[in-house]
Amino acid sequence: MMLGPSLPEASSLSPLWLVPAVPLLGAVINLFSGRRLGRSAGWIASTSVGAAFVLSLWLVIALLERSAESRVHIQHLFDWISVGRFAVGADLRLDVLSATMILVVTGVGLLIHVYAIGYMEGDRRYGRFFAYLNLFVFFMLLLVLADNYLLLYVGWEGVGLCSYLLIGFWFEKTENASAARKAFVTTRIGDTLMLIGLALIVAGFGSLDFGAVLGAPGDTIAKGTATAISLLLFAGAIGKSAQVPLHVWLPDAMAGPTPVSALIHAATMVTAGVYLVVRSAPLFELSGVALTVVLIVGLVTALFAATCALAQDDIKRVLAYSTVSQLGFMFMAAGMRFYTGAMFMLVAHAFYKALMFLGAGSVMHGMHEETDLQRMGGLIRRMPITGWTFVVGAFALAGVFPLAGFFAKDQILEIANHTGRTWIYLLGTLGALLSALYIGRLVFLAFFGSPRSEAAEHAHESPLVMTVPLLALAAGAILAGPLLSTSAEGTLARVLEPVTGPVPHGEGLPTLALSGIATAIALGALALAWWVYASGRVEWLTLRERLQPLPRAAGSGWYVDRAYSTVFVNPGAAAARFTANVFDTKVVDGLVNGVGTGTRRLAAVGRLLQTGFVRSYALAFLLGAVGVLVWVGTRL
Amino acid sequence: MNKLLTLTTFLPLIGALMVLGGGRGLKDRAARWVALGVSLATFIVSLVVLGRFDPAAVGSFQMVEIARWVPSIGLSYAVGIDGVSIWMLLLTTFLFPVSILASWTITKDVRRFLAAILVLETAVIGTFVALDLLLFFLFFEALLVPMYLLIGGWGGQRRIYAAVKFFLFTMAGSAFLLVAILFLYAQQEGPRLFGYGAMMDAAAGVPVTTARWLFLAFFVAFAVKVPLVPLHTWLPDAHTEAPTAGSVLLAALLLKVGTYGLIRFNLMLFPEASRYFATFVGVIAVIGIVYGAVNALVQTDIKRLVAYSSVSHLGFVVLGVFAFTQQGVTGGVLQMVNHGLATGALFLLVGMVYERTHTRDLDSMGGLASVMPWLMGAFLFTAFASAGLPGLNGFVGEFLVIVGTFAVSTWFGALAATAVVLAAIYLLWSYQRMAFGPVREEHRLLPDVNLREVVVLAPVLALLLVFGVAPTLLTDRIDPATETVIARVAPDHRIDVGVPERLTGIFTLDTKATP
Repeated sequence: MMLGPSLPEASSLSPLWLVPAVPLLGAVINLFSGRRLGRSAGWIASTSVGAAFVLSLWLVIALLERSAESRVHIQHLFDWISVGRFAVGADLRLDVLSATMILVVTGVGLLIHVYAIGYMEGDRRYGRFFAYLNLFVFFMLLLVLADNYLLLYVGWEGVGLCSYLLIGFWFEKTENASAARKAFVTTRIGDTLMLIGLALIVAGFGSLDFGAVLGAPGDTIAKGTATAISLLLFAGAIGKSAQVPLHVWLPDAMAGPTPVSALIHAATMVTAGVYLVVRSAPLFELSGVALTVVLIVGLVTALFAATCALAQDDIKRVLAYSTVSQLGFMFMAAGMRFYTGAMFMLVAHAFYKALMFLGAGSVMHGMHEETDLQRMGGLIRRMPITGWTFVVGAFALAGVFPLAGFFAKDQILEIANHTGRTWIYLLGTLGALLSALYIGRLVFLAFFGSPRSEAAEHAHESPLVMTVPLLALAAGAILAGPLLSTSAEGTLARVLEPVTGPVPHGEGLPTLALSGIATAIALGALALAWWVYASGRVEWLTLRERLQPLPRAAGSGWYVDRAYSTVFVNPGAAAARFTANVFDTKVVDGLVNGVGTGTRRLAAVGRLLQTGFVRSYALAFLLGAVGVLVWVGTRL
Repeated sequence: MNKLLTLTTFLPLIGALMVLGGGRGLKDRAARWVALGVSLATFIVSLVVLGRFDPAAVGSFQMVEIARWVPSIGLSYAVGIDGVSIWMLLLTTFLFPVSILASWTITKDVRRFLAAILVLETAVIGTFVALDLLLFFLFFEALLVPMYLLIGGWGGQRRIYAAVKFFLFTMAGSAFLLVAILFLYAQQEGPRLFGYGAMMDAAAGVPVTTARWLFLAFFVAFAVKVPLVPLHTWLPDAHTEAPTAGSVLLAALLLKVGTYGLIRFNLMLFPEASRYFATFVGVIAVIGIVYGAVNALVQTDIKRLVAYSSVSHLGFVVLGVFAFTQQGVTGGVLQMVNHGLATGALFLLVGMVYERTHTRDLDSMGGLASVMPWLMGAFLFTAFASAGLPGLNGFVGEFLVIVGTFAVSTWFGALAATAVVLAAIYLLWSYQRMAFGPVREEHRLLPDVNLREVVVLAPVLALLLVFGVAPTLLTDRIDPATETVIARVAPDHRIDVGVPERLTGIFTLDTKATP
């Protein structure tokens, strides 16, 4: 057991609770007076997240000033649950891992809030929107700052709630409402398994505190129990981070306003699963098998979703499947015990994917809500800031040196190669190739070539309040890589090591060769995408028709939704209808009525009662009571 | 001597007499204010009771009042409270003024309606404080009459069918209860008494097999009330036809009389039989949890839907109680309070929606969130509380029950957890059909909540949040009482899943890494 020395209450870190509290305050203000506030609702919301960001920055600097072994601060707010000896506190934990997360959540969150001020302009529920957005930031911060699994679960479900509210924000359209419900229910399947995992943790450790569970000696629970717990927690991660087989909700979640897609369904909430696995690494390591499962699920998802992304015509759905695929890469990293790599990719991805989502929103803003790639083209001349920042994001995702995505993906593949997982390396490289292809396809179809619709010809650039966040995120996507690179000497790796352990190492192809291969593949795929989609030399729609039915199948997400309907939803609904309409009303009710008096006699009694008999029940009851007393009295 | 509990119990009855006895001179409007005033006064008195209640006292009833009533047969007037009944009492006195205010719009036979409600309050409080079994039985029976009148007199179209069904089911159950009580009474030597202590001694004296039969007799009576599958079929009908106040009080309080009876009498009088039947009851409870939720999935009548969700939620209570673990039993009692508040609030909201749309059919609604955002917002909040969203009250009880059950049976705990998914499905799906999508033409001009409705809802909704964030307000008092229960029912293998000391600090990977 490696428990740190009992740490003195450090005053410099005691404002920690304010980090989640300020966005919560913003949410409350906007919820109850959003309508009166008018446009300033957006500024109030942005200010609250901005304040949380500045505060986080200040706290993280104070944390990093400490020596590596004492970089943890635990703040006990109050006893939440206390029954018998089982206790759960409202406790916050600031350590290097949660510090990384709060910077991403508040930093990227701030930019998206500012952007939304412009994007949501004129919406009739403007104040409500920012209330939900603030509430989301509160729950997300609670999730990553929690010092026990149950408080984490509060944040976990809370972000799910906000996701539900925001996907269905324009609930007048039935499909938006359905997408919201689908998201909540699908993720809740994972959440329920996770909840069972928490119950198992309590059974095994008697506590849900990170310190007690993750710092317990290795022999506290059996290996099988550790596997069960890890897999159940991972089930929660699969739901939240949209991994196969629970990925189906994320593409539909694009029904929400675009800032929501950027903040919740790309940069922060969906990465909660990665955070959970990295945080719970000691349990996963104890199991061993669980890590293999994480690796395989991540790999399968990364490839599967990349093929889907390649066949989408809706700009937001490309990005949604891309997010699913990228999260798969993060889980691959975690599955290989390369936790810092997973975290690094999480940070990098938050920048470039938020950037691209906001870029897509800017395109929609400039083209009257158009999302069909077939009706775009040549937009880079009409909206240069949006276009060029989008190119930066796309190149980052494709893994072009020296952008953030290059470092992230390259290192994950390198670890696969160096730990002797040749197949993982090869398939991962295939995934990287597909990623560069689909994002190249998106960029060239949308921004290059010639305009393919009236709206594309008359597209206009978005206002400053929207383009400034794009520029800031583009700067992040460019700088994050070199600054945080996770090679063994990299900054993030060194900082995270006390929590995530050392980066695994081994022998394989030299790093330079691997980087060369990766770069060649990224550039080659982008070139191919240019040739097919923007050079004008290929009739890509004709090409697509020739390849049918593959593109159609991939475009539908390989018919997984339809399969779920056929196998689970429809039979389940039919069974429930049978239970409710036939079994319960006819069989159970009939039987129970029959056992007592016979249905016919029940009706007869009913008539009797109806005619006023029961109105004098009080009298009958009194008589009965007297009768009882008399009977008892005679026995004395 | 301190007569606080007696005052709480009978104050509403006095109110009922005032309302009825006011004669024709008493206008409906004044009668409403009288009833509201009396129920509020009762609530205030019960707050004084709460204030004087000593949370730390273990294993004894407090504020006990004993008076000989019919000494020749050993019937006494004995009342008192412990950490379980104190919350049932408070829940009761809290929800009655709320229900009365929610019924402001009733115009038919107002004074009798209010009198029935106030009589019902006395009867409900009586069952929760009675410490004499015959006295308990009298209150238990007395519940039926006003509730029957409320459903039959102010209900919907099939109200007579529903009222009679409700009446016959519970009557049939209580027949068993009466027989069992009298049997125990007859077992006593010397001066026979119906008092709790005397009956406990008598129950300890009967042979094991007899005790098991007696357990079953008590169990049937309470299982009908809870209700446990397959004795639940009266509930959807009763709820559907009852007026709003009737549904609220039925779900929030009358069902709790069943679970309260299980804890107070089945577990305490027949500990051996309770252990003997624990698995059996657990199976029934789990079936109820899943079965109620599955049935709720496909209901189109919103009241029937909430009724089936109650079957599911009450299954949680029984499952936790019969786990005999500290977390399970306390979680079960907590769930009783939580279900009372959340489901009570749901029925209040359904009533408000019905008053506007005049339908309970989900397929005839839609888009209401755009015409009445606050009412629908309150609905969603309550639905999430009911679905066990962490941070709101339903979650803590549910989680404690799951954790407490896990310690004895992994499968029961895991199966019960499936209800978490199902609850999300049926609540969100019904909410979507009601609130989302395009508005129907005839609903376009419906008004949002008015001031009276805000006053009705705000306190209940506030408590959903308060008890989600600070459940210790409740559990601090529940825990000592359930400890007594567990000490009696499972003295040899007391299970408490927590660890006494808490560990915090830095942990690292290298200590556990497996090659």
